[in-house]
Amino acid sequence: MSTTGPEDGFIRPFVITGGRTAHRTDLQLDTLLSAAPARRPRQLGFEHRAVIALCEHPISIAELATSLDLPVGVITVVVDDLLEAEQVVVHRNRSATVSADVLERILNGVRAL
Amino acid sequence: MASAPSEAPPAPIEVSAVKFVVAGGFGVGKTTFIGAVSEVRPLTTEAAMTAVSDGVDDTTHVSAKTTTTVALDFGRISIDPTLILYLFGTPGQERFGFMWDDLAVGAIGGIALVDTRRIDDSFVAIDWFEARKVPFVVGVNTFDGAERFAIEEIREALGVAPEIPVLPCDARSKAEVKDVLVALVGHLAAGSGVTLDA
Repeated sequence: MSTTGPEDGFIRPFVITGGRTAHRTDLQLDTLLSAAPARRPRQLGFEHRAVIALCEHPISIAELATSLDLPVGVITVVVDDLLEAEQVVVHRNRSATVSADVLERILNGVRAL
Repeated sequence: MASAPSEAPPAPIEVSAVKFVVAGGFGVGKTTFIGAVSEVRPLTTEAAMTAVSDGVDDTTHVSAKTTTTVALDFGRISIDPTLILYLFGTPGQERFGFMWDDLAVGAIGGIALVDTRRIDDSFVAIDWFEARKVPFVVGVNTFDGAERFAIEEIREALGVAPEIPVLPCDARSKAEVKDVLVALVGHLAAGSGVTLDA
């Protein structure tokens, strides 16, 4: 007697995250991730495997969300799982501080566009 | 005891990200600006942004912060193999202005885009950069048919400090968007006492 069924093809975000919402606060939109070089094979869900595949090249949380068409809140939970399972690594050296080296590289990079 | 298998996996190359924030009123050309230089077409993501927590009693179990989901645009420029520049546009809707704070985290610079036909809309962006101490430059979007004001007149109308670059910028022009980014890098260098070659 249900009014909605699986035929509508819509999976609610909390199904993917197993109802979890809590996530690490250090995962920002521009946090970069890579797949861990040595990964033990694990039983992983579809979204988790999709994130690992995209992490073959450094990619941000924002890009993962867009690529997989999932909310950022879901991506952070999935990434949190993958960090816990040592399947992905976070690039820690965020250039929050402005160094001459970084500015020089940005300048050259922008000019070369 | 390094019992490396036949082929030791290489450590992933450490890559850094830097973030610029593009702010401005609704319809000022933030997405166009990002699209002019991004190597991917501007992407839109739905992000939960922290909203106001005023007047909410803090408890040990419930976060006082609430979040609201907004759409924001971003682009990417791969500067070199170990440095990626992201441009994030602020949510255009005025009512989300107070939620931009999450975007400021880690932002090293900003671009305030100004539409001379709606100069009042620009103050929100400029005030925001100033309050968060994010160094910024001003790009004056030169829309077709928009009255061309002298840059000094616009600077005066906006009341920005004399050291802040204000320059015209047609967001559709890659060359002019690049000029704005170059000006921002120069402004960041000046602000941190760095001298750049070239």
